[in-house]
Amino acid sequence: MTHTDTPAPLQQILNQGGIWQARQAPETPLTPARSSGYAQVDEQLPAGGWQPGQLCEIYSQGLGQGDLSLLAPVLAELSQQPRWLLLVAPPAVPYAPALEMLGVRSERLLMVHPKNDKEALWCMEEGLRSGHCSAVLGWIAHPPATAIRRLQVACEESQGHAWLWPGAQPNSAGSPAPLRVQVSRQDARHSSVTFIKRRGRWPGQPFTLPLQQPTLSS
Amino acid sequence: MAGWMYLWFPDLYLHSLDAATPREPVAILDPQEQRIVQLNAPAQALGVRRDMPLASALFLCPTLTTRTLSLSHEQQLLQQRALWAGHYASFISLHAPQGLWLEVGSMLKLFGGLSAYWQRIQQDCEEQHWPVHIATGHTPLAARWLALANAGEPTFARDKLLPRLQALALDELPFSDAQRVALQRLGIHSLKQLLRLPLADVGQRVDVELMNTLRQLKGDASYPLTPFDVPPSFSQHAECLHDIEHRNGILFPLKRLLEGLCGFLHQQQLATRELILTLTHREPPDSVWRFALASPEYRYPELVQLCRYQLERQRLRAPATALRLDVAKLSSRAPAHANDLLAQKGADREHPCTHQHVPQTGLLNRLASRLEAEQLQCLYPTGDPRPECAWHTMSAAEHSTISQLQKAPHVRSHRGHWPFWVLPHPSPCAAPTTLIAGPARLDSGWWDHAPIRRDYYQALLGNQLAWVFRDDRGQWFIHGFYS
Repeated sequence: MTHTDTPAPLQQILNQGGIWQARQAPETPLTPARSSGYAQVDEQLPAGGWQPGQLCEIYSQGLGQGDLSLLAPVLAELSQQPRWLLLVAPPAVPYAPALEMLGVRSERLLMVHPKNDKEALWCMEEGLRSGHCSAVLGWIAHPPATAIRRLQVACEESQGHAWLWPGAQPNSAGSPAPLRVQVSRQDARHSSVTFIKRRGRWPGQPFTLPLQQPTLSS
Repeated sequence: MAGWMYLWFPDLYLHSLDAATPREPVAILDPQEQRIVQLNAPAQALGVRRDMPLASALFLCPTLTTRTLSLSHEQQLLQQRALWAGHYASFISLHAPQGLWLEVGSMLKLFGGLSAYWQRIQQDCEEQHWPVHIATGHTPLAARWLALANAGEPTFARDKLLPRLQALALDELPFSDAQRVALQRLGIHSLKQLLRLPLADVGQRVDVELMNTLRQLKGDASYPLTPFDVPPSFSQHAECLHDIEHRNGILFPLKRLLEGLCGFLHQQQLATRELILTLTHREPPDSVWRFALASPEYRYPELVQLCRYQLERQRLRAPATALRLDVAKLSSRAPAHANDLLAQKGADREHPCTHQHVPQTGLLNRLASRLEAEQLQCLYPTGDPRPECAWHTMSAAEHSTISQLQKAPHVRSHRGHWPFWVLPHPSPCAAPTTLIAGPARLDSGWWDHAPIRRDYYQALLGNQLAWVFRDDRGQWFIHGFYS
C-alpha cells in the first residue's frame, strides 16, 4: 500500500515508529500467551496473558513494590523449561528459599553483572537471540529508545519473554516497548497496577492486585 | 566390501594462501630449484606455466606474488584435511604431498550409499573452497589413478571402472621417466595397451617395479597403506599471503584452523575449554591471545561465533604474518552435550521436555567471551537456616562443571515468610514504625563461628515491604525486600 496521499508531517511521525498501527498486528499471534497466574492481570493484558515476543517495561519505585510477585507465577512456569532465566544487573540477590516456595527452579537462574548499560543491553539481546533463555529480565536505568527498540526486535524475532525495569517513572516521550506497566505497593498485601501502554488496546486504569506472597502458613 | 576413495587436493599449499585473494597472480616456488610448482588461474592466464623458472615467470608477469613451498607446512595442511576427513571415514591414510585415502566400503550404510557419500564430500569441499578431485576404486591405486586424471565415478564395480582406467593416457599417470621412455619405445601410449601385455613381459621389458604396480592396481597384490593416527594434541598454523592489519582479517584464516580443530575434537570425542591463538609479527615477540570458554565446546558454528566475539575485544599490536591455534584444557564431552542436539531443535520454541537438567551452555560461552568470569553467576541453595548462608553465588563456569547431584541438594527450606530479594549484607536502619508480621526468631549457627540470634519482621518502610530484623543487641537491620 502506498501513502502518497498521506500529509507529510503525519508520514514523518509514522516513519519514526512512535505510533503503532493496528494493521501491523499479526492476525494470529505466533505463540500463544502464557497466563500470568492472576485472573485480573490476564484480563488486562491484550493477549490474555504474557505474550512471547513482546518486551514489557515495568516501572516501580525501589525494591519491594510487588512487581516480582506479579511475575512469580509465570517465572515459575518458565523455569520448568531446561533453559536459563537470565537476570541482567539484578538490584539484589534473589533469595533461594523464596524462589523454592514460589516454584522457581533456582538452578535455572543465570545472573549477569555488567559493567555498564551498554554491556547490559548486549547481554539481554544476546540472551534473547541465543534461544537459550526462557525469559530475560533486565534492570537498566533510563535506556535510550533506540536500545529498547533493539530489544523489542530481538524479543519479537526470538519469540522470547523479556521484562525490563527502566526506572521509577515512565517518561512522557513514550517507548517502543509494546507493554508498559507501573507497579506500586499499596499495603503489605496489595499493589496498585496500571498498564500505561498496551499494544492493540487503550491504556488501562489502575487496579488493586492482591499479591501471592511466598509464604507458607507457619 | 572393501572400497577406496582417493581425494586429491591439487595445489594444496597455494589454495591455503589464496582463497582470500583470487584475483592477483600468485605462484609457489620449489624450495630448491626456484621453479614454479603451483600457480593460480590469474597467473596461468598471463602465460606462467608449471616448471617454469622464476625468472621467466617474472618476465611474463612482473606483478607475480611468489611464495616458497614449505613442505612441512604442506604436510600439516594435509593433516588438517585428514582430520576433517575423520567425519567421513574411520580408516584414513595420508599420501604426501596432496592426497588422502579413505576406506569407504564400511561407511556406506551410515551415509546411505556411495552416491550420497560422494555428494556430501564434494559439497563439503565446495563450501570450504577446496579444489578436490575425487575418485573411488576397488583398489587404492585404481582410486588414486582415476583421481589424478579427474576421471572418477561413484562405483566400486571392477567392470565399470576398467574402461575408465583403460582410457587413461600414460602421461596422466605417476610413472618414472625411465618407465615412460621404456614404454614409449614399446609403442605403448595408453593404459589399455599396457594392461594387455602379460605381466611377466612388463617385468622383463620395463622393470619389476611397474609389474608390481600393475598387480596392485588389479588387486592381485596388496598396496601397503599406513593408517593416519590422530595426533595427541592439537596445534596447527596458517600462513597469510598478505599481512593482516586488522583483527577482522584474522577470522578468515582462523576459520580454517577451527575446521581442523573440530575434526580433531570429533575424532577424539573431546571438547575444549580454552583456545590459544598465537600471532606471528614481523618483529618478535608474538602475540598470544587466550580465549577461555565457560563450558566445554566442540561445535564449529559455536566456536566461530565465540572467536568472533573474542576478537572484538583484542587489539592487534602489529600486522600479523601467520597464526597458530593450539588448544589447552581438553575434556571429555559431558553427557548433557549429547542432549544438546535434541534441545537445539526446539530451542526457540517451547520446551515440554523437563527431564533435561542442565540448561544449555552455549549462551554461557557467548556471554563469557565478553565478560569476566566473576560477572556471570549462578545461585546455589545450601539449605542452611541462616539467611546469609542459605545460598551461594558461584561463577557460572564453576556451576557448569559440577554435577547435578552436587548442585541441587534437595533441601527443603524451613517454612516462613521469605522475601524475593535479599541483600548480601544487612544494612542498619532505624526502628521501623509499621510492623506487619513477626517476630520470627532465628537462633542458629552454633556449629560454626557465625552464630546468629535475630527476630525477623515484615515492615513497611515508606511504601516498600521490607524484611527487617533486630539482633540480640537491639539494633535493627534491613535484610531484604518482598517484591
